[in-house]
Amino acid sequence: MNRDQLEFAVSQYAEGGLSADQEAALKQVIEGDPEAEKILEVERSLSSLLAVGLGEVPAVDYEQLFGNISQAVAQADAPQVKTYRIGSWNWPARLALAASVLIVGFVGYHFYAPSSGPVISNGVAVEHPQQIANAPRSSTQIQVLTAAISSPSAASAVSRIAIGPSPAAATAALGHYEGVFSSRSGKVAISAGLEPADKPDFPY
Amino acid sequence: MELSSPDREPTPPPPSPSDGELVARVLAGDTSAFDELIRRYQRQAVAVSYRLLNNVDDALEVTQNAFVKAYASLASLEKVESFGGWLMRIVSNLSLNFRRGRAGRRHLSLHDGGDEGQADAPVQQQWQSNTAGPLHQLQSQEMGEKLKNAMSQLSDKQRQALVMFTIEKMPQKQVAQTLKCSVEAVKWHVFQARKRLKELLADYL
Repeated sequence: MNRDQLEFAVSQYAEGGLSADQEAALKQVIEGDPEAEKILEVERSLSSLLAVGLGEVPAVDYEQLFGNISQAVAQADAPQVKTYRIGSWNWPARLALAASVLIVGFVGYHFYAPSSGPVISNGVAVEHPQQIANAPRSSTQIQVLTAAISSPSAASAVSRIAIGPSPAAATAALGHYEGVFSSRSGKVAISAGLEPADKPDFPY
Repeated sequence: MELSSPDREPTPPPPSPSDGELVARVLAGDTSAFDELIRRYQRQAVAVSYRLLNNVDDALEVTQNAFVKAYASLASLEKVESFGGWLMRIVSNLSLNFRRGRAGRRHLSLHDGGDEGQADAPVQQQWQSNTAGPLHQLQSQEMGEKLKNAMSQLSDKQRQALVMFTIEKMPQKQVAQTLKCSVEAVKWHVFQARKRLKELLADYL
């Protein structure tokens, strides 16, 4: 226990803020430590100085004070629990409330609704699993798997491309190129892609 | 006639309602329940305010204002059972504001010292009544002045914690509710206040 801790504990002891166990333990410390005993003496002097120096609260007629406060309180506004009644609102306020509810609902749905995005399968994102085009699996190089989705609708001709080694290539390559995978930064080259068939000015 | 038997034990008085029950009754429209709260806490409120202001008239004014303010904003009290701590927070905040206002007024006043003298009077009278002889009176006046100055050098939190816990002997939990802090923080504020006072009043210890 350092000096600050000792002072804190003795201060609490002098204030009566210690539990019985803590008090008993501190008494033992104080008995065997003249410095702690001196600290306690100063704390007690301070307590009596505060008690005597500040004195008692002057005598007050509390019945009269009660009457005064009670009268003042009676003249004050009664505490009101605020209630909001939509029925009393005018139509712009109702419209604004309805719009707010709709906006909050839309935003909430947008952020928290279950994702309708790509299916995750073996670490590869697949939009339309049945239409995915795999690169040859026999290569020992790191394979880049490109998938161009031929969507029935023109608007989503190229909707999503999933990039990464096919599961077979990953299994074959990991054994031989484990060091390469861990030491080189990843580079991805897309070797080929399909042009959107019916929307040539599609920017992507 | 068993019921009228003199040996029958008197029925115990009904338990007094808790603060929470009284607050709920006031909010339900029974304003007389607030009178019970006034009776319950007016002494403590006056004591805390007096310790912070050193002037009994100011303390009475602050106490009355605090009750009126508490009544008007009772609906905003979240934990109805902690009415006591909440009220003391209003009392101590109003007292500190009053003190700052008084300090400002005194600063602007051409007759500096009149207000201060009134504020000190009860403290000094009390201290003087416990001593005898002109030398003791002089010493006690000097010490009372020194004590007042030392208290004014504490931070608001330290002064509030010291007044409520050390001087008014309020439970640490209620002091914590009043100061909106933990019990450990109350202990720390009291410790720091005492430490500072020991430095400032070293000649008297």
